Amino acid sequence: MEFSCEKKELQSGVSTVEKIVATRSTLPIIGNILFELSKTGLKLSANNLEMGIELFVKANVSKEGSFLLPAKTLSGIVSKLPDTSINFKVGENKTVKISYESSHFNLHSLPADEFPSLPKVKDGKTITVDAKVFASMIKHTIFSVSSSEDKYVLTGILVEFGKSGISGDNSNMRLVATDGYRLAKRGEKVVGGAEGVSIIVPARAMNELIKILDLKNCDTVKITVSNDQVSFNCGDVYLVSRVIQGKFPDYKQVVPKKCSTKVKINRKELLSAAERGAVIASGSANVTMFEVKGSKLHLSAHTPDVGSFDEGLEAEIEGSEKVRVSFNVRLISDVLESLASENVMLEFSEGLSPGVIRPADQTDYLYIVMPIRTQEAA
Amino acid sequence: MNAYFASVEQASNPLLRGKPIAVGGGTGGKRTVVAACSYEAKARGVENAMPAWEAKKVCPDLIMVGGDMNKYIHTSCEVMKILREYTPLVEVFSIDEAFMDVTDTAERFGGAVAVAKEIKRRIRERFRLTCNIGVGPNKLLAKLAGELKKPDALIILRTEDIPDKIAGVKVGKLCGVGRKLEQYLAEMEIKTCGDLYRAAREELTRRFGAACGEHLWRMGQGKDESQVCSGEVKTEAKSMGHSYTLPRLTSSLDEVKGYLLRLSEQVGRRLRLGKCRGNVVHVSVGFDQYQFWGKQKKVEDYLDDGYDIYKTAEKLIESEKGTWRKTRGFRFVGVTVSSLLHEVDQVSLFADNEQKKLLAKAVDTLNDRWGEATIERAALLGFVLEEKSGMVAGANRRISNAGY
Repeated sequence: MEFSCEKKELQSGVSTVEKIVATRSTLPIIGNILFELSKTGLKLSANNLEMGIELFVKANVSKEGSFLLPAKTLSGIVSKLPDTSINFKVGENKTVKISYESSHFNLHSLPADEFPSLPKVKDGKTITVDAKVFASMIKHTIFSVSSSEDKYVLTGILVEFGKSGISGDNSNMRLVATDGYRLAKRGEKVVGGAEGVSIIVPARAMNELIKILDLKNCDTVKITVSNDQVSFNCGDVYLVSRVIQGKFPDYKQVVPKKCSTKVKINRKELLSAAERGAVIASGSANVTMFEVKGSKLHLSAHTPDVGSFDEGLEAEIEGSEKVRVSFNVRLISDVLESLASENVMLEFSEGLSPGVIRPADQTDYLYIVMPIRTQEAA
Repeated sequence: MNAYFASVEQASNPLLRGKPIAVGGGTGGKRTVVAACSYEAKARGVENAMPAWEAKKVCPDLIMVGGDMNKYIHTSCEVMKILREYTPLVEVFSIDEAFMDVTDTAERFGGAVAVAKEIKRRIRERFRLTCNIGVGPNKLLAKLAGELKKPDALIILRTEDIPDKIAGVKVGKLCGVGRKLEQYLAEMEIKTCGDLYRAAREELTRRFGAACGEHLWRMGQGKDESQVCSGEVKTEAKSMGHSYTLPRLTSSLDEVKGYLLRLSEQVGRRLRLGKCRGNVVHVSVGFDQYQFWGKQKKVEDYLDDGYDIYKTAEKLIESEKGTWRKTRGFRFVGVTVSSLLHEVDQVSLFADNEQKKLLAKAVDTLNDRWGEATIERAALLGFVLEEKSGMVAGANRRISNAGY
């Protein structure tokens, strides 16, 4: 078995599949990367039993075959190699000789036959979506997932096809993420579709997918969904993940139907103010008061023994001009950071009703954030 | 105060005077530890925090007395009232310790030493209790002076006594130098107050950081600018926890978990009473031979529900129990919630969580009105905490406020 390829190509491939590799597993074999050499080129795969990936790397294969190399050692070597052509050759005793210029490494390899093969999603429904649109849908929602294993179903993003039934929502594909305190929903109109399909994709898989989509620069991504697995094909990368089993909470119930005040405000200005407020608020659970006073939106925070913060921002106010609600300012800056629009709409009501944030020029995005009950509000 | 709990018991019961006694939890049973012991018992080798059975072994005629927190708190309040007759600046440091700032008032009573002598006399005459009083130019030296010789001593440390008079005193005697810090200092060959006096400022700041190193250096020089804070110091709780020594060794982890659930519910109840929540849960388990295991975990949500606290603690136990060495049994369990937020409650998006809060509130209301455990989890019925005496926590506040 022998092949050669450029270091850059190899590094890009290895670093992408390496992220899937389970480093601390009771099954040591999944700490390896699978090399498969065929006439079509070099295929790299990793599988951590939760998710798997395979991708092609441009290479000149002179002798076909397959072998395993330990991911950690391999990526360590590849990242340090000089920018030149690298040759891999499996010799006797299954030692892989990695040679470049006039130097070489010898690495012990393992036979490929024990490596768990990547599941192919069978009998699934397939839909093809624009890669850039899908990447932006993930970015608009992924920050809202829960990181707590106690809230297992919330550690993934709900991917839902078909009409939502919410008035004014014309999308037929939606991504929804929530950690129980805030919820991000992004809809899109896609052609074709898998009407009625709804799955929860682990955030980790989505995270890897965004990186791949950004890196590979492909036009479309093909999503194949079955009951327990989902796969994403983009270009020559194949990513497969199990789906989270369980019932995603009924997000439609929590979409507020009315609000007392609408505030249209510059997103960047609000984000900067929120970040300034966070400096003070971080000492007291990020509690920041949002208050409409006349034609301004005021943000204020205070932490005993540290200090206080107050900033008034020009805004277009519609509805009641007297509203005060406290939020965790991090939950607000998270969404402002992920959006790209010039202005955002904030919708508040007095008391402990949820706040809503959406881009001023986009109707398919919705972010709901619950307020904080403070001594004052109670 | 000297051997405070034990002395109060001896003062209130003539039959105990002059005898080796130890105050323990509840009724003073076998599984309890010595919370305080009389000087007669100390002379026979009994030490504080010694398990009762061990204390009985070293001193067979030791009399175990069940602790009575109300008595100690009441006596403490009365003592503090006496102190306040000499200055309004009295800082209650613990149930049996207080700082007094008599800078402006001592003259009236004939000077600080005269005040100290009079207080000692009044406490002895009224309560039959002895105490140590240290007199110094600041809190650090006064506290150190009070520790130098026990019992019933009056020691004066002046600025000019530094370092000679305390050169041989162990650094661990300084208020603020705990066991760990003492160990770190020992690694730098700083074992006595004299060593600390000579230690280079730069070396201390390099080893312990600018703030802590500088503080240590100042301590070495006998300097302390902290003020005596009278009245209730409004510090918010940083953590809340409960622990329990089981009435007998058990090999059943389920039994330990039962008590853990009970303790978790108590912590949850206290968190809710204090209107706070925490997102770090620490659980500890004690084995036979006095071995301990403890671990903590930070969780995403801020908790004040007993069952949520229990689940986090139980998961820690389940994931770590494989690392425990073989044990004959468990004898102790404790759970603490820290990283507390006060008066802040992030409202949930979904109704089930808010309903859980309402349920806890309803249960609290019932228990407030009709007494603890009027309504509680059925799972807790088999796990009654025996021999648990009143809590010391909260006593400070009562003592601080006494006399106002």
